Amino acid sequence: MTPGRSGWLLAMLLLGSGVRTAAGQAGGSTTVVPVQQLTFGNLVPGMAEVVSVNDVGRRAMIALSGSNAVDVTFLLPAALESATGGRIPLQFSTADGGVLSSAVSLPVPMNPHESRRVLLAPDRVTHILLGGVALPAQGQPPGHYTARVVLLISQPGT
Amino acid sequence: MNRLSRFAFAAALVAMPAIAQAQAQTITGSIGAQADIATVFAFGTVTQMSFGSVVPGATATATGNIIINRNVKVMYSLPDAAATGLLTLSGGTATLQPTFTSCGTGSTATTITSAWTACTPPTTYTAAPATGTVSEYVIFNASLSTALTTLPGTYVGVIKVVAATN
Repeated sequence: MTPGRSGWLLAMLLLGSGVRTAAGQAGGSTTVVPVQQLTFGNLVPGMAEVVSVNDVGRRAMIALSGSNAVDVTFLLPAALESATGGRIPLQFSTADGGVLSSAVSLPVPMNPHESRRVLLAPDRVTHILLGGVALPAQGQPPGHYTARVVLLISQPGT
Repeated sequence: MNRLSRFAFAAALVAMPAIAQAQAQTITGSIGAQADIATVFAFGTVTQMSFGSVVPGATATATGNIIINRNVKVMYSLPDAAATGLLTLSGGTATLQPTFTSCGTGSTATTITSAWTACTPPTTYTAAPATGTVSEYVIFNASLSTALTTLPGTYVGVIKVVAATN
């Protein structure tokens, strides 16, 4: 291999490394911080419990910070589950999601079943919100029921 | 390295950043969701079993019950066993033992729908109610036989019922 060819390959490696770092910076500059879980509280068997996306004390809230546009996608659980195998079905309507761009603004509705592009800005934290409905059965066994709501944050175009 | 292999190597190098970029630009966060279904398990109102005023030598009958509110499985027991409901003369030592004619649980205060054998509670758990919290009556029906020699006075006693969940 001639010195010229070695220099060309080295340039390619640096180029590859540079793009990866740039991508890392783009992804790494977006941070996701869980702020508040979705809390249905004490349920009465047979009675649906609704947590509105505007319920400040019980809705789920996840903080995003960064400086790019990102696509936000929920992976919604079908049910809350207990350690003994009990299940409480969950429902999420198209109006159960929200995007809150500042502390004083009202949330912009978001369909949690669809991806949503959100423009992040370095001078503010954007909150993704989620409400929902829990549907305990008439004979729902007592216990503590939990689930995980997953949020995928991706750069547009990836 | 021939021309073709050099081209393939270069193409691989070019492709690598694209893969790395896709991997680096998706991040995941998760948050919990939770709810609680409370256990309901408590005794409520008691209807005392009263045989009234009994003439010595006569037999009287009575019924009594206690409500239990529950949404869980439960197992009943009578810790006093054969001495359940033993009546003792107030201020004395004389006793009268009622004979329990039927016992069990029911959805009303008057009708036993799940009878206990010989007034001995089942030794297995009764299923959790399928319709949420229920008010279940634990019912005792008994007779009291007295003798001509039974001492006069007021006889009192307690029916102890233990309910346990699992």
